Parts: sequence; structure tokens; C-alpha cells
Amino acid sequence: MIDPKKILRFLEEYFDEIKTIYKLNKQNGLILIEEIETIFDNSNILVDNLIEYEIIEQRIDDTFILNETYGSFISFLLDDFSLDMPEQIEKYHNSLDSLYRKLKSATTKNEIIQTIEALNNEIGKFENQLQKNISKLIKETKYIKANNQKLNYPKKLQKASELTITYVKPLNIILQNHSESILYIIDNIIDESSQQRFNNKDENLKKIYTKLYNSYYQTKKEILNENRLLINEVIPLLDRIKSGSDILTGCINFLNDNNSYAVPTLLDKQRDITYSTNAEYEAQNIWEGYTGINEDIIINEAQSLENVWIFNKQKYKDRLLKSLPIENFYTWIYEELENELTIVESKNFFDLSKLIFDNDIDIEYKNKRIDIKLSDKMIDVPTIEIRSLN
Amino acid sequence: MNYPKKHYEIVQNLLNGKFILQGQTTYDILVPNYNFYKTFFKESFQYDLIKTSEVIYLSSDNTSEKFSRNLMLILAILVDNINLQGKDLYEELFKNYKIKDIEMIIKDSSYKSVCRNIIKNNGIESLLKSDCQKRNIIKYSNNYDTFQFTSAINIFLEQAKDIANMSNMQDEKEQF
Repeated sequence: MIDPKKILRFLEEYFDEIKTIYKLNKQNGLILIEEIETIFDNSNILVDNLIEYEIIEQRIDDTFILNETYGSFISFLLDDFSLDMPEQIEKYHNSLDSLYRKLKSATTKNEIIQTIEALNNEIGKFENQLQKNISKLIKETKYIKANNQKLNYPKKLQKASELTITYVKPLNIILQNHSESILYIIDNIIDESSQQRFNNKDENLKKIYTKLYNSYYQTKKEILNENRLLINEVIPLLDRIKSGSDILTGCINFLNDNNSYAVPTLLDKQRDITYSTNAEYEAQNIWEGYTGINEDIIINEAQSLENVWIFNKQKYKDRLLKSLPIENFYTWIYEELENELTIVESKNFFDLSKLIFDNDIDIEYKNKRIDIKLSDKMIDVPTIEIRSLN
Repeated sequence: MNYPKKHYEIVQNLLNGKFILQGQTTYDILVPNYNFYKTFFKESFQYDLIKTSEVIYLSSDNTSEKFSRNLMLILAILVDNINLQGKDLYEELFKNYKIKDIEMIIKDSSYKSVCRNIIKNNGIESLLKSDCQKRNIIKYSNNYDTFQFTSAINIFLEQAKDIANMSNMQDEKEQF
């Protein structure tokens, strides 16, 4: 057997060349001897080493391929791998299921030990592959999220929906807990090993079952955690990008033919009635609508008020007293108003006649009536003489 | 019986076509009393009280849909414009806008003609400043003369999604 350290040293020394081989292999699915010779500067010794250490394998048609073990090791070192199709992960469903059945039907101790070892191996591989894929998915999603400048919106949408349809949804189905899922089989294996680690009569088998129990129990926790990452990190972001795309499609359809589609039904505003009990709220609503609108304010010139005659009792009483004695009270009123207003209206005339009820004057009715012509009517009044104060 | 706190305000706001937004005190009062108010509005007015994780509002089939359709048109043009610029829809929609920005976007849009009835007579300004503000669909900031859409527009965005899904279903039917 070749000393492993010797192989590692060789890998270290010629890593760049081996990396080129890895890339060619990935690109073309095979490597030609001429290419290898060019890469290694026609050094036969080095090419022989490659073959001796089984880094490359010769095929019947004399072409070479990179050994799968090295291939996955280098891809791990370079963090360079593409997502596995969900089918590649789902295959573990079958393998774990058949191993589980085998364990249940195993009769000899040897058979049980071998099956458990196979179960442990298989779950290790599954967990490894799952983790790789989930962290790759998270990385890809974050790339879409972060590269606002590099990726335009349609490109983002396309990438997000690819990821969702091809990987995230199938993965989620594989991981969810239902009778067809991997988690379901893992649960069965946990149950079985949990019982056996206590009930089995063979001490040695008890230990082996305990180990199986621990490793499956850990894996289950890991899957739940990975699924949580998928649900909490990847799906919401992809959904958000996807929902943006739906909104866009809907909006464009609506713009193209808006009368064919329904819109949200809201409530019409109520009619504003000033005397209703809601007036305060309605007014408030209207004001809220106007805050911030700067309307032009136009102020009209105020019109001057008309000179309106008002009956001022004290003023006319004083005048009356000054004019004493008065032959006829009603003629005096007419003259007073005519002097002041020119036109004597009946309304003003009657207002001023109220002076006659004043207690400070002494009046005497004469047995004679006269007509007085006012602007709006003719009135028939008695002759009243006012002589002095009481 | 005892009515919930702010009962009068809640009823008045809803009857005036206002959206009650998550984060408002009235929203927090409405949520635990949702069933009461749902029955109350159905029995008293034949209105449906609709609750989402973001807004609560009243809906009725017997109302004109002019406002709703006009707002949907404006939002659709805005979404189309954001897409043409290759920007993120959610980030852009909830930015601060000036009314003039929206008017420009509509003016420059190839879908301008479907909005011709709204554009007339300063229609966009009155739709946004008056109707939308009264209904809590936008939050207007007087200091900066800008506004921001509230989460109430999600009702319209959800409608757009339904329209998209409806069209997808139709396409699939046609293929069969």
C-alpha cells in the first residue's frame, strides 16, 4: 500500500495542475492523455504517479477520468459543487428503508451488526449531502438577494423560480414528516433502536443499538434544523421574489384590459350631512383631506354699510323736550324725520311715535284729526299737543 | 351591554371607508372583538368586515367601484414602472413620493391612455391627497410635501396576484 502522506504531499505540490485536470474532467467528462502530458510538461514520471496513486483512471478507450473520491475531495476543497437533484437525495429513502426492513428481519447477530453498520454509513452520507445542498441553496438565495446591481429583476425572478421549483419545494417534501418521507423512516429506526438498546439481551448488541440510536437521533435533529433553515431563510425570500412577479403580471393584465377584472370592493364615503350627529367626524375627515393644500385666499373689498336709521329714545326725547311746546306731536315727528332722512317711512314714523308713552311728558288730545303722507302710506292721526313736563 | 373602548371612533372610521391599520390603537381593539364587529356591521348595514394581518376595513357589493378601480390603475402603472427600471418592487413601492412624481410616471407611461379620466382636472392629486389620505391609504407629510403608501395597498397588490393566477388558470385551460 502506498503511504497516504506521500499521496497528500503529491497533491499539495501539484495542486494547481490537478485542479486543471479536475476542471477538464468536469467540463468534458473525460481527459485525454495529450492534455495530461501538456499539463505536466511531458513529464512521464509525474503522469505515472497520477496513475499509480489512482488519481486518474484509464478507461478501455485509453481516455482518462478523475477518480470519483478525489473528484469530490477537490470539489469540497474548492467549495465547488452544484446542487444535487432532489432525486439524488430521495434515493436515500429507498436505501434506508430497505436496510431498516433487513434489520427487522435479521436473525443472526452478525447480520444485525452488519446492517447497523450499513445504516450508520448511509445516514452519514445522507446528512453530508443534505447539509451541502442546503448551505448551497442558502448561498445561492443570498446571492440573488445581494446582487441588486449585477442581476436585473427579470433575471432574479427567473433564478428564484428555478431554485424554488427544482430544489426547494421537492426538498421540503422529502424532509417533511409524512409516511413517504425520509424523516418517517428515520423515526422508525430511532424507535426500533431505542427499544433494542434497553430490551436486547445481548450486551454487545445493546451498545451497537445505542450507537445507532444516537446517530439517528442526531441526524433527525439536524434535518429538522436544516428544514427550518429552508423554511425560514430560503423559502420566504424566494416567495417574496416570486410574489413580486405575480403582482407585476397581474398589474399588466389589469392595465391591458381593466374592465375584465374585479377590483377590491370598498365602502363609498357616506354623504356628509351637516346636521347629522356625525358632523364633527365628517368635518374632521374633510379637514384632514385639506391639510397641506395651500389654496389661494381671495379677500373681496368690504361693502360700506347703508346708513340705517335706528330709534334712539334718549336722543329724540331730548330733542322733544327742547322743542316744547309742540302744537301737534305727529307733525313734529314728521318734520324731525324729514330733516334727518329726507324720506319718511312708516316704519320709522311709528318707531318715533313711541315717545308718546313717555311718562315725563304731559299730553293733551284735541278733537281734530289730520292726514300725514308718508313715503309708503297715508295715515290718519289725531292732533296731540305737548306743553310741558309733568 | 358594554361596548369596546373607542367604539364610536371605530364605527365612524369604518363607515367612512377608512382602513384601520395594524399599529393603530383601534386595530388592537378591533382584533379581539372582530367577531362582534363582523356581526354588528353585517346585521346593521349588510357590510362585510374584512381583516388581514395588516388592515381591517369594510366592504360592500352595493357600492360604486370607481375609486378602487382608479387607484388600482395608478398602482399598476407604478408597478410596471418599477419593473422597467429593474428595481425591487416592495422596496420601491413604500418609498416617499411627491404627487408630482406619480403624475410624471403616469404621463410617461405607455398605459397613460387608460388613466385619461383620472388625469383630467387634477384628478391624481385629489385622488391621493383627498380620497387616499382620508381612507388611510397614504400617509401625507406636510413638512416635506411627500407621501408614503401604507400597508392598505397590499389589498390591491393581493388583487393583482389573484388576477395573475386567474390568467394562469385560463392559459392552462386553453392548453388542454
